[in-house]
Amino acid sequence: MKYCKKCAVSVNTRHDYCPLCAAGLFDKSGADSGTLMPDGGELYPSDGESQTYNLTLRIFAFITLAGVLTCVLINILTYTGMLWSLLVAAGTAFLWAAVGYPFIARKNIGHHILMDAVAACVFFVVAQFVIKTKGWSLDYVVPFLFIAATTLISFVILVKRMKWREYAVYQFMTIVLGVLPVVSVVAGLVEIRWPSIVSAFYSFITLLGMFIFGDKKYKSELIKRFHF
Amino acid sequence: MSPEKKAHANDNRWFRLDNAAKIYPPIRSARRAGVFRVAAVLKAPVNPETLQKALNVTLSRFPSFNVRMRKGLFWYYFEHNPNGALVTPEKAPVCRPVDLRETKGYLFRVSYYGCRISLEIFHAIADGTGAMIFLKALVYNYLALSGAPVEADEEILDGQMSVAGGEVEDSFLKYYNENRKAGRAEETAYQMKGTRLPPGYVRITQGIIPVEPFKALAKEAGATLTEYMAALLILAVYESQLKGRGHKNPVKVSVPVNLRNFFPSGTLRNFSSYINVGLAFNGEEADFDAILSAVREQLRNDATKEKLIEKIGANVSAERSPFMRVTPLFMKNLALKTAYNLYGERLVTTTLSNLGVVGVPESMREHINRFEFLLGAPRRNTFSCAVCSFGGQVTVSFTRVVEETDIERFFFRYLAKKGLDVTIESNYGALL
Repeated sequence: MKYCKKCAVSVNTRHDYCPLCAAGLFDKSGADSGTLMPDGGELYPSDGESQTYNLTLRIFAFITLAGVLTCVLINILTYTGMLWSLLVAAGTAFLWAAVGYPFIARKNIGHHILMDAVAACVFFVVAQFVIKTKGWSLDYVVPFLFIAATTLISFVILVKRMKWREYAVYQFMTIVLGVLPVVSVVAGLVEIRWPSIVSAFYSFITLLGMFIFGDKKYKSELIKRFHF
Repeated sequence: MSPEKKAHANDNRWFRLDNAAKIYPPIRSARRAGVFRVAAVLKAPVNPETLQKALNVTLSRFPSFNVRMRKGLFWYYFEHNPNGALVTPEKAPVCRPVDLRETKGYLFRVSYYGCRISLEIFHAIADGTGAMIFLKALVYNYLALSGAPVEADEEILDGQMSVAGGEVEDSFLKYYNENRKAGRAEETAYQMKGTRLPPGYVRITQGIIPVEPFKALAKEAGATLTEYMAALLILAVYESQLKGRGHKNPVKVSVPVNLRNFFPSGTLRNFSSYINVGLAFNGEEADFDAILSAVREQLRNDATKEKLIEKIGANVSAERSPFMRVTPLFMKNLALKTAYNLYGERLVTTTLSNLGVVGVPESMREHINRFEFLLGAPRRNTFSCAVCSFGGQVTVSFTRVVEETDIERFFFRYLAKKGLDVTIESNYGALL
C-alpha cells in the first residue's frame, strides 16, 4: 500500500505515481491489492471498429453510384424525351438489393426473398413509367412476383422444417404484400384485373394453410413478432 | 393472458421490453454501450468452474435475464435463450458493448478477475437494483457450491423460492396514470471540456471510504450521502472549469431514483427514474453550502410520489401512443436515436448513481470484501460516478473517458481534507 501526501489518500493498487495527481507515492504499511483490472484495464483495441471499413463494398458502392450519376448527366445533356437513366438507376438499385444486400446483411433467406420481390416490383413499375407503355407491370408483373415470392417461402418452410419460425414471419409479410395488388384494382390503376385478384386469393389460401398446418408455437411466434 | 404471466413452458416465454428499456437498443453503439457493472470482490480468488456452475443455477432462477433479444415488426422483444451463458476471464475495457456472438445472445457478461466476480449487463435487461439482486444470488450460489456454510434469507433469490410474477413485470405500466404527465422541456447542461481518450479506453478511479464518518460529515451539513456527493460533484466541475467565468448553461447531475422505494414493486427489470439537479454559475465565487442547499431542495422537491408518477406518465404515454405503436421498428429506432442525440446526454453534465447499502445474509459477509458498482463510459459527458456501500465502506467509482483527473482529484482530496480516510484504486497508470 502506498500513500500520496498531496492528495492525502492511500493508494491500494500497484502504482508508482498517484492516479489522481501523478505525484510520487510514499510507502505505507500493508500490502497492495495488485492491479484493479487485467492489462491495467484500459489497453484493449476495440476490435469491432477496424472491421467496419469494408474496401470491396466501398469500391462497388462508388462504381455503381458514379455510373448511375454519369448516366443521369448524359441523359440530361442529350435529352430526347426519354428518362432512360431512371431505368439504369432502378436496375442498379435492384442489383444491390438482389446481390449486394445479401452480402452485407446476412439475414435469413425469407428476408431476402421479400426484399428481392419488393425491389423487382419497384424496378418494373419504374421501367413501365420510363418506356411509357401501358400497364403491364401492375397488371401482370407485380401480382405474379408476389405469388412467386409466397410460393418460394412456402417451399423454404417445407424444406427447412426445423427452422420454420425464422421464415414464418416473412411468409406472413409476403402474404400481406400479396393482397396489396387488390388496392390497385380498387384504385383503378390496372386494366387487367384477374392477376391481382388471383394474387390476393393465393395469399389468402396460403394464410389458410399456415393456420391449419401451423401449431400453437406458430401462432405465438406471430404474436411475438407483431406485438405493438 | 399477458406474456409475463405464462409461468411454465419456459421455451415459449417472451417479454416485451419494459418502458425504460426501450431506449437502450436504438441508441446502442460501439461508443455508447448502455452497459453497467455490478461486482463482488470476494476474499479468495474466484474458481471459474464453480462460478460456471453457480451461473447455470442462478440463470434458471431468473427468467428475465435468461433471454436473447429479437426484432419484431414494431418492437424488440426478449425470448428464452436456450444456449446457456458462459463465464469468461475479465477482459478490458470495462463495460464494453455486449458482443452477442461472444455471449451467445445473452445481454450480460459474467466475468472473473482475481477475487472479483463481475456482472456487466445491458441496461435493457435490468436496472442497478435488479442486476445487484442477480449478482447476490450468483455470489450466494458460488459460495454455496464452493462449500461455504452460507444460508439464504429474503435478500437472496435462490432456487428454493419459485419465480414470482412480480419479478418480471413492467412496473411502469402498473403505476402509469394517463392523466398525469410531466412536461419534457429541460435546459441543456454544461458539458465539460477535456482531452478525449482513444475509442475503447476507459479509466476507472475508485475511492473506498469508511461509511460512518462519511455519513456523519453529510449529516453535519444537513444532507444525505447522495445529496452531499451530488453537490460535491457540482463543486468539482465548478472548481476545475468554471471558476471565475461561469457559463450560461447550468451544471447538472442526473441522479437515478429507485422507484421501488416509492411504489411497491418486486420487479427485477427496470424500475427507476432520475432527477436532474444543478445550478448555473455566473462567474461569482461559489461555495459548497449554497450548492448543497440548492441540490437538497431540488432533490427533496422532486423525489416525491406525485412528481415521479408524472415522469412515468410522460414516458409511458409516449410509448403507448397509437402513432408510436404502429410505427415500424426501424423508423422508431431512427427517431429515438435522433431524439437521444439531440437531448439525452446533453441535458446533464454527469450522472451520480447511488445503489445504497448492499444487504446480504450474515453468513455471506465474512466471504465478501466489498461490492462495486460502475457505470459505462458516457458518450458526450466526460465522466460518470457510481456508488454503493457494503460492510462499513462506501465505494465511489468514477468512469472517465478523458485524460484529465480533475474531478476525481478534487472530489477525493476534498473528502480527505475533511478528515476521511480515502483509499484509491485505479486502472490508470497501474504497474503490471
